[in-house]
Amino acid sequence: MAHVSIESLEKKYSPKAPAAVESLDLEIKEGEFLTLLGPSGCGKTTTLRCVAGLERPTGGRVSIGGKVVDDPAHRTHIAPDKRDIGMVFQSYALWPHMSVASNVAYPLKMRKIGIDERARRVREALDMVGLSEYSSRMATDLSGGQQQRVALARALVATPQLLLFDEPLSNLDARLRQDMRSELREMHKRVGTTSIYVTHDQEEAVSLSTRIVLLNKGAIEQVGSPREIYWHPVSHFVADFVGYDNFIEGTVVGADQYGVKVLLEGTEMRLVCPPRNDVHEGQRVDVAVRSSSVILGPPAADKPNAFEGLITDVMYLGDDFIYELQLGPHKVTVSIRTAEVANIWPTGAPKVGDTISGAISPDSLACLPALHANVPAMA
Amino acid sequence: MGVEVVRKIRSSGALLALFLLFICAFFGYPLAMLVYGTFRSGQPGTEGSFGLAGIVDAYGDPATWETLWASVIYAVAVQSIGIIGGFIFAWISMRTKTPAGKAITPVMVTIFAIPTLFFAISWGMMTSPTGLLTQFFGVSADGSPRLDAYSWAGLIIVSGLKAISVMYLLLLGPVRALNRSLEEAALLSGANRVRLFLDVNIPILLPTLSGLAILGFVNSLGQLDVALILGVPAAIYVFPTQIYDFLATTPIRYDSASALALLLIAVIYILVAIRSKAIGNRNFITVTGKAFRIEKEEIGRWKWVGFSLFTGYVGVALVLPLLQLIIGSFQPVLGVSGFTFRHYIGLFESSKVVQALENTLIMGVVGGLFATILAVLITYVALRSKSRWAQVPELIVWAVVAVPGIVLALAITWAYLSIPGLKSLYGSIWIVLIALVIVVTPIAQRATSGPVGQLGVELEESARICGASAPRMLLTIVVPLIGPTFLASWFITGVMAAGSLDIPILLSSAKTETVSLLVYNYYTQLGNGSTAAALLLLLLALLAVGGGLLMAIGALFKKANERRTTRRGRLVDTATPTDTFDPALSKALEADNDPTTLRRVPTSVSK
Repeated sequence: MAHVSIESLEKKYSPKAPAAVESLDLEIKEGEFLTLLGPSGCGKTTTLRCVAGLERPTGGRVSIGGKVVDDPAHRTHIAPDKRDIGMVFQSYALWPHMSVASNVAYPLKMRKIGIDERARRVREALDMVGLSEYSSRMATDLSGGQQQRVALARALVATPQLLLFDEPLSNLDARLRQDMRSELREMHKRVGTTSIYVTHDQEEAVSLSTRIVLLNKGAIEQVGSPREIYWHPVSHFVADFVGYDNFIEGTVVGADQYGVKVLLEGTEMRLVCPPRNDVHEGQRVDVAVRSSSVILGPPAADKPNAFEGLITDVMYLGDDFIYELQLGPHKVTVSIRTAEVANIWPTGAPKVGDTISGAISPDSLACLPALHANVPAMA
Repeated sequence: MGVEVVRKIRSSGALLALFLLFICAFFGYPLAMLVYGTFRSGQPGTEGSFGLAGIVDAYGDPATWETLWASVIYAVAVQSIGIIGGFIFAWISMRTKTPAGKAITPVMVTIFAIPTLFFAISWGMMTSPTGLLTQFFGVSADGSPRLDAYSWAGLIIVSGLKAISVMYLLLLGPVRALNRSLEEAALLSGANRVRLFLDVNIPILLPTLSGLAILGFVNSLGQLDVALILGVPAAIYVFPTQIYDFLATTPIRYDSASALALLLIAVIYILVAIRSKAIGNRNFITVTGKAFRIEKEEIGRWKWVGFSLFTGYVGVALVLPLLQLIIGSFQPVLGVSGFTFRHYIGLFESSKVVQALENTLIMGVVGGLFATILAVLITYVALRSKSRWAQVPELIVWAVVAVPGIVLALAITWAYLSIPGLKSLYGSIWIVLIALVIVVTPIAQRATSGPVGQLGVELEESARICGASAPRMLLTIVVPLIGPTFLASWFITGVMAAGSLDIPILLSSAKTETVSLLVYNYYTQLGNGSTAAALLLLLLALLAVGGGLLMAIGALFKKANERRTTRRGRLVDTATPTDTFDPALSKALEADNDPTTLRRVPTSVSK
């Protein structure tokens, strides 16, 4: 186990190209499970590969367990094989010419561990991922999920001081992904190795990590616990990325320690948002709303942030109903669980053209600095 | 080749049967006749009796077994050089940032395209008493050159240098397709570069490497040119020269030659069978989507090692031989210093040379064209026909890949001289052409089967749905998609057919001599080495002009396409805002039918 510190890391693939990672600072504590989250091209994989030593940074410094492994200014670069790291790749990267057991044994062999000890630890590692009966099969004869388990066993077997995961679940189907996610959680609870995990899937990030780093264009956008990232995004980009799907423009009309009051553009409606000390009266902001946190119908009565809206469209998606509401000039989508609809409106659900009441809990809102011209998430 | 034809093949078995019959007769029949010839005394087409005389004669001679052993050693040595060298250069060019790395592929293609004859003859000249290499290495005490190409070492070096270029081109794809994350996983497991290479790269490439080794070995076993020019004068015999010897010296023993040829084919098939038994269809080379980086690596000081290896190779394999030929072609008599244009002038005055040039051009252009058409047809029929029999032609062509040129020429002799009607073909240019087409069709098959085999039927069907008639679909969809591959294959097989020596040496008559044969004759029999050098250089120049012309046409097409695409882009931009009928837009859409603007399928040159 080790802590990792990354200081003003910079990586340019060619002198002329824009930096893939630009001056990134990050401290990863011992035993932490840290996720680098972001869209493709945000620099998350590049950062991970720099930590692994597979990529040479062009600036800054990386150290693992207090030992500097990369410092281009002083021409320091420790080769990946000397870093004592385990890594799980997106493509599994199992050697097709070796059996499951020899794949898992390979890191031990490289560390010159005796044959008896090796066999014992391979068995342990395969037991842990539930594949002990497959040990003599060829690695590529297994299914995708099994292959990724073998890859996990291979990464763990030598008890490295640091574990790296490069989108390990993205080649698996949805069901397997969920299973593997809980297995990864279990594994981290048990071994407690410092881990860095790269993904573009916010659900994965939220469910696995102790801390999330949201990256955008090679720089950090927000660092925080899953809860913070999920409920208190600091920017439009983060809110969009973690699933806020309505952005309503407005102006701050009051801000104190209890909350921020926002007057929605083109209406007389005011929404109270969680407190935020970097906004001031008169500032234009976007209020971010998750479609799933809006309450509709009778339950909305007497709740804070109540409103009335005209239904312009109703869509049925099986598990959910999607209502499209018109609030003055704004369109807001609301999703209600199908099972809830009958509870809310026992005498029949509202139809297109009806006006209905609703409410949004202040805690579920985020007041964000306005992003005027282009609002990608409005659709 | 047409959709109509293919549709008929699908519906009725008759056309398919006809096609099958043709393939069997064209490719299979000569080989069957070779077996027949083994057990029959006398010359093809004449009276003879059946018996085992040929076999007894050939295999009863201990010299035959010595020759076999010599051939195996020769082939193993040549292919070891070829594979190791080819692999090193493929690695340098695909994986490292080495100076001049981009030049490696063009140089290898050039060396591959130059007939083997060229290397054999120029190496012979280089180690003659006044040759370039002798001037460098000097002579030993008894006055003979220290490095003599007319020796085992010379034979192996010359063939090995050429084999490097072939293996390079064949290994380029596999090396490029190596999955990098497999290597990264090994690095992170704690393996250093050497371990990684031995534990991961080599085992993963092993099925490919062993396949290529067999292919190359088979090729070397049947290679006549170098052994004939450099080996025979030094009394070194390998299998192909032994076969040729049976046929070229009296008494001519067709049956013994056939018996040897059969043994050669048997050895080759056994090797192929052993390999497929041992390795099966295991193929570890996997191309993955993401995380697959093709970035080249900085290798520090090693890049100068790579650079000097490459320049050394270019110097020895290409520049020196070329230089020697140029010097030789201007010498009054080969090896005597002086300067004269006489040989060049002589070339153009000789009607023989003009005739040979004409023949060679026909061999290259027509032979390459027929081979490529046949190859595309065979793949296309196998792809589209639902009959199980449709795969048979592919198998037959695969079987021919192992048959050496000299053996095939012998088989053709049996096949066409034994049938009265076909006998008249003998001595004409057609018999040479037929043999050349048979020999190069497997190469064309390799070059085209990838892109042709990937032609999704839905591409054709959607064109028909969009309203294109069958010929129009063929012209606008199929031809543009496989066109570049077709041309590349035509060029490769054309160059190979034009440079072949082993087929014309047995099948050409005085009127149907090719340039290669003429060069060989000048160099050996008439003792006029300088004329041979001049003629070889003329052949090379013509090949270079042909290649250059093709490249220029390709570049022109590309430029025209780019211009058209940008122009059309502008048209579409201005046209979008209006909903009304726009003549410019409709014209632009019509131009979409132009085959040259469609996306190109990458052409593969690998065989």
